[in-house]
Amino acid sequence: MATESLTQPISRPSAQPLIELRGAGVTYPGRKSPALSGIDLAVRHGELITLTGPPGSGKSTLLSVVGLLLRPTTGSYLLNGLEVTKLRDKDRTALRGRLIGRVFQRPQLLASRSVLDNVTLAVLYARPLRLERSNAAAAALERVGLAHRMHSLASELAAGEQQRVAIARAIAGNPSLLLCDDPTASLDQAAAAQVIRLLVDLQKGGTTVLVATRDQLAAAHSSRSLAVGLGGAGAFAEDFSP
Amino acid sequence: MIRRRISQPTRLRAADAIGEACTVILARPARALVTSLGTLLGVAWFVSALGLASTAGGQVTSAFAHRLPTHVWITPKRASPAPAAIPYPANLQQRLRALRGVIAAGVFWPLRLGRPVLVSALPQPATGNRQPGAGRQAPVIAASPGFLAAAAVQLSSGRPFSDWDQAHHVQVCLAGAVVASAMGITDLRRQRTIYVDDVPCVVIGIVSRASGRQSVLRSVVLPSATAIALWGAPDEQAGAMPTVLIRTRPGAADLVARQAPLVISQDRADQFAVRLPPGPGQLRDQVISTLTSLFYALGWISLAIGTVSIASVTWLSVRERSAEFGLRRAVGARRRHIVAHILCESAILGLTGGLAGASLGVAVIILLARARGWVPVIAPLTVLPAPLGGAAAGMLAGIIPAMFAARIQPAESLSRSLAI
Repeated sequence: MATESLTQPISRPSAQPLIELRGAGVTYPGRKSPALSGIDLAVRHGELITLTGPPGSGKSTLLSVVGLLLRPTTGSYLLNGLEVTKLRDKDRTALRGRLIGRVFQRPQLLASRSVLDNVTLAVLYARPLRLERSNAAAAALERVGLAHRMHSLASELAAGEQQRVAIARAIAGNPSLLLCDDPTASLDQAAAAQVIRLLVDLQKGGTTVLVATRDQLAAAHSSRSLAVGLGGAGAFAEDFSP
Repeated sequence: MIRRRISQPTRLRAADAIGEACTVILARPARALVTSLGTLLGVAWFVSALGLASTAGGQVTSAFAHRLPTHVWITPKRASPAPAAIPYPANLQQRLRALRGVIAAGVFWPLRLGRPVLVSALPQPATGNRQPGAGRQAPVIAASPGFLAAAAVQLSSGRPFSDWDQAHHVQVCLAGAVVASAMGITDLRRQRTIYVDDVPCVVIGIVSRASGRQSVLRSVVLPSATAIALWGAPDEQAGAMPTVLIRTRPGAADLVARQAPLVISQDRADQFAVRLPPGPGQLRDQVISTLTSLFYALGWISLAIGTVSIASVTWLSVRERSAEFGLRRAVGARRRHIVAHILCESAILGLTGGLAGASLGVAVIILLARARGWVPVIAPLTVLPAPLGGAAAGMLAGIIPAMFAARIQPAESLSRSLAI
């Protein structure tokens, strides 16, 4: 019997989707109406998927479910074939720390810490050796073109640079899955284009990328575009891929 | 078949937790200072309170030293069946003087003759015509010369009897001021003789003060050898119990009281009863105990206030940093890692606050003692562990905020901006 560790980078099996949501829904405690309901979604390895939809449609909630920050209250979620809904918090945290990178709407940087510190934070819990962490962070900064700013304070960077640092932080651990929540929302056109190019490069490098965005440019570069929240009271994802 | 396992949970090494805590603290020094201020003041007060308790205790001890007992009485536990001999060695005085802390020692006993001992200025007729009031009943003490020194006898005029008087059984005596006054003896420029039980004795000195035995002022004191020569050995059955009086330096009485019976007779040490006047030791101990308890209570209260202060600042800090903890959770930190981060930070802040507080406390003790002219007493056992106490207080204060932070939901907290 072969054993596969799910906290190691996921190799690409032939047909099995990396992400598979079946009727997934989320109702926040104290709310009557669900934030997300009846989501059926399958994402294959190496895809770049954009999620579109109006504000409040549940894109961020969907990313939180996929990123193991939220447990779906209904339905199931299979990550590379493993049902992760019922996993212990410790195991979900391990998967989150080792397999999933996350870029938030805001860069969410520690302003009083250096750029390198911010990126190193992403691998603090997954890699025990300090040197290994520093190398991984430096490599990630190299990929986003900010190696020369690694010793600057995060607060000293421009908005576009901050978002690139956030991406560097998300990819420092070589995640199999990168989730981006409207990463270009606060950027000007040039900075947004730079970020999109970066995401496309990552996808070409084999990373599966899921981007919630209102940016048409991002949608244009994606393998598929899914609309969230067109269902009125509930929310669901609809495939608009060509 | 592929069996999948979730291996390699995320980890946080102790060195990394401490490093992160130091980085966070150094990134916001002002907040760190405010947080550790509570511990600093708490530990400073704790250390200075205990130090002041020790210093004040030392001061109280010094004040009470002047009132410590300086005399020891030793008597045989049982009276001898018949007057035989003095139950003490001849060189008693030399033996006792060899003890550390002994200033003087001597033997005395009240003269008991089985009849009233009359002291008069004139000889009394042998029979019949005793003049009423011509003689008066007064205590007569037989004593060795050492007794005079042990009782700290001071004379208003004349001289004390000496070893020579003792050795030659000279019929001399000292009159207490009360007795002398009653007999009209105020001046010894011409020889004055009194009659003790009709035995003439030359008054060679008038006792004006005897701090070791005030009753000497109302008595007539004869050399013990003279008394034995005139009336025989002391009749213990009649109450003439020979007693050793030892005068000691302040504070030495307890030790001398334990050693003296052995010096008098190593074989029969248990046959002597030793008596010490009640000293102020118990009162002193009560005063010190009360002072120490008071200062301890104040110290603990201040440390508790310091702990609550850290807890409240840490609590506010954790709320302010909830997005950061959400981010850490999102990148793989387990709940216990968040707890470790906060406990490390609060322990380091407590430790630094404790170090600074202990230093401040010692400075306060020294300054206050110097201002009052006291000798500062600083117990290492209260000062050295104080920084560790600060660290423990910091950790204690961090527990509730850490539990709160560990429950932060990353998805919810990341909707807010990071504060640091």
